[in-house]
Amino acid sequence: MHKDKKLKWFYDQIIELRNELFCFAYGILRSVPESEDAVSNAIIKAHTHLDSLRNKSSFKPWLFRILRNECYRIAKLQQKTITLYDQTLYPHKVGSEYRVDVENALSQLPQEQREVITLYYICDYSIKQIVEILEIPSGTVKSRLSRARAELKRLLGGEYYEA
Amino acid sequence: MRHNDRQFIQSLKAGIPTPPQSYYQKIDDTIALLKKHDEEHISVKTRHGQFVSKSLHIATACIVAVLLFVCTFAVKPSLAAELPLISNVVYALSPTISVNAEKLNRVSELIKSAVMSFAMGDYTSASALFYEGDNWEEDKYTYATAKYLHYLLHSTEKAPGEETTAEAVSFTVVNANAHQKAFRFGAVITLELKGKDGSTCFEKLYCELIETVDGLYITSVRTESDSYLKYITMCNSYGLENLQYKNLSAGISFETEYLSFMTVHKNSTISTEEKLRMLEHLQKKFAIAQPDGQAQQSIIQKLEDERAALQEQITPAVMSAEELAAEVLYRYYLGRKSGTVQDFSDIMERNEATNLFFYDAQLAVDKTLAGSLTAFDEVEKGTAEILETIRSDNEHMTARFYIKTKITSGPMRGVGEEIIFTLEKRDTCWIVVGYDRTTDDGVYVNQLKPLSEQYKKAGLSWQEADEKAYKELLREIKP
Repeated sequence: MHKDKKLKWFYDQIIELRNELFCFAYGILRSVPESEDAVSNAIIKAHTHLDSLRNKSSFKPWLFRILRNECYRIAKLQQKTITLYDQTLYPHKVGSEYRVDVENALSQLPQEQREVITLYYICDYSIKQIVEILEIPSGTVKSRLSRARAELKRLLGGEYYEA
Repeated sequence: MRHNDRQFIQSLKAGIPTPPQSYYQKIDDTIALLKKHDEEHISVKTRHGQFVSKSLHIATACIVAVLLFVCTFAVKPSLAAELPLISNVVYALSPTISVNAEKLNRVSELIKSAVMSFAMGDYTSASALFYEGDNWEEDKYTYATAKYLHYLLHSTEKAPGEETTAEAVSFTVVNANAHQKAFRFGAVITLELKGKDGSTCFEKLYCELIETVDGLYITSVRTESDSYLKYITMCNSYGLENLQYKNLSAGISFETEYLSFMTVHKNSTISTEEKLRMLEHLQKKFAIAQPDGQAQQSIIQKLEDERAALQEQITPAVMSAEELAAEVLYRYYLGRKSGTVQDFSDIMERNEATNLFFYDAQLAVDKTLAGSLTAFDEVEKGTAEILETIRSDNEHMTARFYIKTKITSGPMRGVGEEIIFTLEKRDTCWIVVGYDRTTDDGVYVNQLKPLSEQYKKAGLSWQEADEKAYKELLREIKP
């Protein structure tokens, strides 16, 4: 593809995917400013390495991989520990009579589960697409989804979810 | 999907906030920044690309030109011979190679033609063979070689003023070698020069040539033979170095004739008048040659000195009466030493009063040659004194002289003799016009003179009587 055309196509794709990119970044970082930075940085990095992209069809997973790495880089810089149980957020015992809303529950998931949950339910990506983005087998995607749902069920008291 | 699932999904999605306006602005800003970067990058790349493209075109054109240059001048180096700067480059880059047989033959013939032209003094033809044309003599080696070759083939063959013959020699190339570097050639040619008399000599010539679009030309010819070096030494000893001539042909011819005269003819047995004639010719030829250089005055003076010396031989210095007497006897005995009656014409008149002296001198030589008289080893002019002046005035003198000639061997050694000379002054010089002896017991007093007197009394003239007396005495030694 001619360089100019390729760049134009790239910017068009960015515009088209910008909401999904934000959702995915927020799903990991749980912070709007950090998510903005992550997506912006990811776009710049993708632009820099655009010549390494061989097929248009693999652009989306390729871009999301860049964003994922950027998110974890920012998280590391912020020394944010993403754990299953964040006692500061949840001073009360999980599963107790105190209901944890969904956002908080998501925050409590391990990052690997949160990724697949975000991509599958929020970004509406298929298992196959998630496999391409995360570069993990489909079985792993499914098992993480299953465990994430189970955890969310436990955290949310089973009201909204049935496995 | 069940209702709870849908609710779950909606809840999950609700957990993700809508991207704020700041996010969209940030993305737009990021894209704008990237686009600006793209434009600058493309502009630089375009300029760079254009520059590279132009540079490539220029470099390609240069490479093609160089290749064309190399190929053209590698195949035909003569094309570069007269091109400034290019000739230097082509020459520097060209290897030195041996020439092929055809070219070697061309080179040899060219040099042989030049040598023949030099030998014959045909410098017009020679000019056509040289790159410098008429200015070929500006190469000092070629000039010296031209003079040498002319001398080699014309010296001593003729006296100054005689005409040369063109078919004096033949030339044959006996050996040839040559190498080539671009348009320049170096050659070593050995020529056999054969004279009309059958004599041969060999000359090894070192030559430089150049090949241009107009053809092959000689730039320099020189020889380093022993004969040539001797010639140069001889030229220098006779003051011919540093001489240039406006009339080159006359100049080189003059030098050959001049050297021939100074080394051969000057001391030969040809008459003094002939030598004077040669000198006069040399003086005229030197003037025609229009010499240029510091040495010309020296040559003019040398020729004049030679002429003066020869003139002095023809016009002897004024001798006194005593010196004249001593000279007569010196030449008399010199005849006995050399076996040839000497020439007395410049000091003695042959007449009735001196005729018998000449027969006496002849008879003395005849007897010496016949062995009846001792030959002398050395004779030198001696001394004379006047014993008695019989008659004397400003222009005439008759006197008895005592003469002692220096003879270092034989019975005449150390002996003096008395002779009566009659002298007459002509111009400023004394000339002997009368000779007589009255004493001693030699042939003249005891035999020649009495016999002649006898025949005169018998009626013969003095010429007949003197001759008859001589012949009669000659029969005694040659029966």
